[in-house]
Amino acid sequence: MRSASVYNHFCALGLICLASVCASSALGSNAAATRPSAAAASQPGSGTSMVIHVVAVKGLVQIRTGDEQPWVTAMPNMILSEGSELRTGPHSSITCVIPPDQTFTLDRLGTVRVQDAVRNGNKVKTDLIMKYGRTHYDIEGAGLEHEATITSPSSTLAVRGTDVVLCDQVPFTPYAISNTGRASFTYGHSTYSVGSKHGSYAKATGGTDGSAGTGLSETVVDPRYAASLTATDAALLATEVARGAVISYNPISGIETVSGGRPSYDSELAATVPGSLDFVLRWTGNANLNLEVGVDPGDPLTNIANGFQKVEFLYPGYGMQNSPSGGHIPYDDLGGPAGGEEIAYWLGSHPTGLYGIGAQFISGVPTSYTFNVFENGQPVEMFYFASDGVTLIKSTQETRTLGPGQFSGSLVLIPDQPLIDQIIPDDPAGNPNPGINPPGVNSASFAPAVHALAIGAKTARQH
Amino acid sequence: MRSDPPIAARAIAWAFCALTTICAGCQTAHVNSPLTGKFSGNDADAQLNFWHELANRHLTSNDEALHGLLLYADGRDDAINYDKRVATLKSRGLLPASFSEPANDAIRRGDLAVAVVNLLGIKGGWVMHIFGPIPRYAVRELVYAGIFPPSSPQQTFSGAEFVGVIGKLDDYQQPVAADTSVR
Repeated sequence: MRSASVYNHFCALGLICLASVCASSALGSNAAATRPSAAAASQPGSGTSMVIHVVAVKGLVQIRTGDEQPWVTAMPNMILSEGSELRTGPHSSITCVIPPDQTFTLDRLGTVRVQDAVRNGNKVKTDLIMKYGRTHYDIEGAGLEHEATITSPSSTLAVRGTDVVLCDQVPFTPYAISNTGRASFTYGHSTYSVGSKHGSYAKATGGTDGSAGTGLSETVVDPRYAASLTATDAALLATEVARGAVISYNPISGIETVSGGRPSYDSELAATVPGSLDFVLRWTGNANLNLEVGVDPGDPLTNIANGFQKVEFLYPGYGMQNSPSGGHIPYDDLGGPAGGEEIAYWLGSHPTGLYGIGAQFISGVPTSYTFNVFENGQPVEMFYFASDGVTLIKSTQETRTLGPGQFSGSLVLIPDQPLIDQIIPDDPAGNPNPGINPPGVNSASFAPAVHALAIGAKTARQH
Repeated sequence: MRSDPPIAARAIAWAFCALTTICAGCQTAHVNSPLTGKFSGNDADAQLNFWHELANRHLTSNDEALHGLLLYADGRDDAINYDKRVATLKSRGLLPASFSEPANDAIRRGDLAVAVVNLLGIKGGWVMHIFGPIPRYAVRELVYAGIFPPSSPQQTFSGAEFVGVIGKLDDYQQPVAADTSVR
């Protein structure tokens, strides 16, 4: 009986011990999330493990203390240790401090593991492994020697006393930013310095030549500035400004714009056109017209026989202001109370062939407009239909009227073909038609007859 | 003694093989077990598991992408299945009324771009002003805005790429937070 009682006591004691061990291990697993482990706290020869304080949490953030541990919701004032892993959701971030002088923030949709956070005397070694996402890292110089890195699958950022950002997230190229100080950014087989001591913002994108290459690739030159214009365009715009126009830039159509001012007078025009081949549209009413030039390169007579094929096209903006053969429209004139002027030109050689010049009504009131074409400074004949819509006529200066929703155009043969010139009669309104002249000059009061549309009419929405 | 098959028969066999190969190559990529079945809840665990499991997947399905978009936009997704998600997004004008892609097919960048453009209220250039957000130009607008990588509308997204794009969406909406000093 007695032996049985002693046996029962031992069994009870054993169960109590077992329960205590289980309870302590269970408690220990919970406590591990908030306290550095004793084993990690002191590692002979490799320094002392540092603690990490969670100081701010925004949105959905979870942490875990090891690969096999469950994820728990991050809260401010939690204390983490080496090996801890953090992950965030959209619109979320977590900021941690490694005393005394390191702060890192993992923001939206990222994952970071604190691989190393060790202090050995005056030397601090920190390594964050970022699977993906973006991490801000700030080290304030406090008399300690830092060896801090952020490592991602395709890049490494070595940080020494600076305020940096590393972002690595497919499908985008990784980049590093230094807000102050210098960091070392490694991508592929190349390492670049980002920023400088006591310097300001610098950014390096992977695959470029460091900060300088990134800065260059991200530079946008505002085309309004003289240095970004060719001498020809600068002179044309300067002429517009001298006539009271305001120069701006339309980022949607991607071309300089001119508002106000006035068109060139007939007496000024031939001397101001810059190219070996120039197409000029001028108008006098408070309207916005756009110049269009189509090119069918080749032999002009053959192209007439085959029908006009628009191989190249010039239009003010939307990437169509330059043509492969060198045609160029320097600006889009939006018009004004005194009208406006647009020009398309070729410098140097230009293709022979059949050209089409057109005017498209964009907005405003019906207005008189004038076409001129010059090859090597000499006026060229334009061919268009008379008001009856059947008779083909010609003139070196064509003046007509254009209203809302209308389009008008003429054909031009380059080089000029004397044979065709002999066959096609002159415009009854004169060859050249009266154009645009200063007030007081007789022909300035010319009011052109409203012809039927020259070649066709289409809506202003065609493009 | 075995005789070779006639040339016509061999040609037909080759044509059949080529046709089979082409048809197989044209199939839309298919996602077998979307994460929406496993992590469909609105709690923090389900949401974070969804995002970070998705980052390890080779493809993002239509169902996963629309679930992710709702989580991003609202912080929750109360739709119980793919059809409800599509209906929700259509009712909010984020998806076109004609959208009818299967749940488990990989999301096309063009389809996602239309939803993102509508979500962000991006007006775009003159083509989008005239024609509205169609996949081709929606993708171009998002590439221009830095939200999409240079893409064609027919391409698909891996899970990590989709998560990256959602991250860029966040940056687009909160540009001050992105890349600025922590000091």
